[in-house]
Amino acid sequence: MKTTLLTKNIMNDHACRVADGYAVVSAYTDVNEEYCVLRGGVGLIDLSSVGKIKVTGESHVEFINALVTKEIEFLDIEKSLYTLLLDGDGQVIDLVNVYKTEDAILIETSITKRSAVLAWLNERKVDDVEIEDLSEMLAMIGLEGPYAWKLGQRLIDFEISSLPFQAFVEIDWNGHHVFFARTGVTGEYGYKIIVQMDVAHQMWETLLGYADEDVKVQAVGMDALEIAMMEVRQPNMTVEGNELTLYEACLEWLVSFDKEDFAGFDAIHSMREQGVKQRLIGFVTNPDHMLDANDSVVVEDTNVGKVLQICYSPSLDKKLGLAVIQEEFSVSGIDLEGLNQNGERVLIQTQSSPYTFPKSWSIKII
Amino acid sequence: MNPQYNDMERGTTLLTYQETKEKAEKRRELTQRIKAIIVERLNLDMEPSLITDDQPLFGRGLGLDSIDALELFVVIEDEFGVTIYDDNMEVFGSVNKLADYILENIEE
Repeated sequence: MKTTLLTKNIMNDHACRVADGYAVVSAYTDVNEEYCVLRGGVGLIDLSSVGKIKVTGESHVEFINALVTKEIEFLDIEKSLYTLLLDGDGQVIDLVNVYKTEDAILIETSITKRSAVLAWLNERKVDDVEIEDLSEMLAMIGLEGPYAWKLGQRLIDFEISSLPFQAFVEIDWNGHHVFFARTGVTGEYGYKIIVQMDVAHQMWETLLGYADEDVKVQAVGMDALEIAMMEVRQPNMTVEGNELTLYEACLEWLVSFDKEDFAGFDAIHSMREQGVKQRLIGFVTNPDHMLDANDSVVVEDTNVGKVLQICYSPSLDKKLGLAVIQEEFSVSGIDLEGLNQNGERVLIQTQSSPYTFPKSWSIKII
Repeated sequence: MNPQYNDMERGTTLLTYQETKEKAEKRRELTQRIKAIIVERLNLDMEPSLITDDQPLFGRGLGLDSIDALELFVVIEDEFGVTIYDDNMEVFGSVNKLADYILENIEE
């Protein structure tokens, strides 16, 4: 198991899990407490294990544009974009965030797919581009929460409200070069800081030190983060990135279908012509019900799908899940049943996303 | 009857396979109608079927903005006779959220 320098400095004896060979902290304290920080204060998230791949060279924009499902040729400098990377068969390799600078593109991968993305880029590499894996040199720290902008403001010397969603700036912080980006995954205000790995711990401690009476700032682990992501249906590659096609995972919104070509283009058009047989849908069930990933979903005695992910949502006080269901039943607002490993049936009700209302939607940056 | 259901759920009567399928079909007709209206009235250059039920309508999702929201207020009232108030941001969370709101507020 590998551990980044930042994670090594902050993990202590906290609960950890392994993603693509890297240690990530599941929870620093209590998952529900950390969840409440994300939805009510500012969660500090160690994202140092995500892949950070720099692509340069004369045709670097064309090279990346030919691989991603969104159009990036005309993406402005200091803007970022979420897009999918597909393989030649149209299967999702990863959901990546692409940051465009004056002379390079920085690709942020998910933790679980960083090796796969790097391998795919190297496989498709052309002569006049350079691919550099900066994952060990750069750390990434996420700020998520309705008051994340208050913390972010402490790092920059202009009004943070003027930084639009999916924009970033390069700043100097104590003599160190830092990327400061507005981009989030929980529906709350979100920012990401990309900083040299060897000063990331110093940055982490500085950010924690900005907590005051008004704003709670606390380290938040992956468990709480993934609950908050699911509540707003932010794709999670550990769930949507395995087994499912982009149509089954309902990821069409991450594809520019009017783009002329990209890797996987023919395959996904062919898949669409063949029709979609199952789709992902959110559901809730009562918190005392026993239901786990891979349990079946049934209507009367007919199996119509299976549970892919399930967790407790503190906002809903219910278990919230995602299930892949036969297309004809994959709509919001119907009652189905889950069939658990003990053969017990539990009521599940399909839901509309977002499953909770992020506080940030009713808070203006001042 | 499902004896393992708790008190809150015990009164729940599950529909049959066929009834559930029909209910799902009706729901899909509504979301498809909403998508077609959004594309037509906001002049979006895309096929309505490429909008997914749960994708965000604003920002990172469909990319609508506050001007589009004003147009949607009018469109939903025209098409369904349902008024959306401008402080209700939740309704624009997705096509599904819009469908929920219409179903809750439409006059039979």
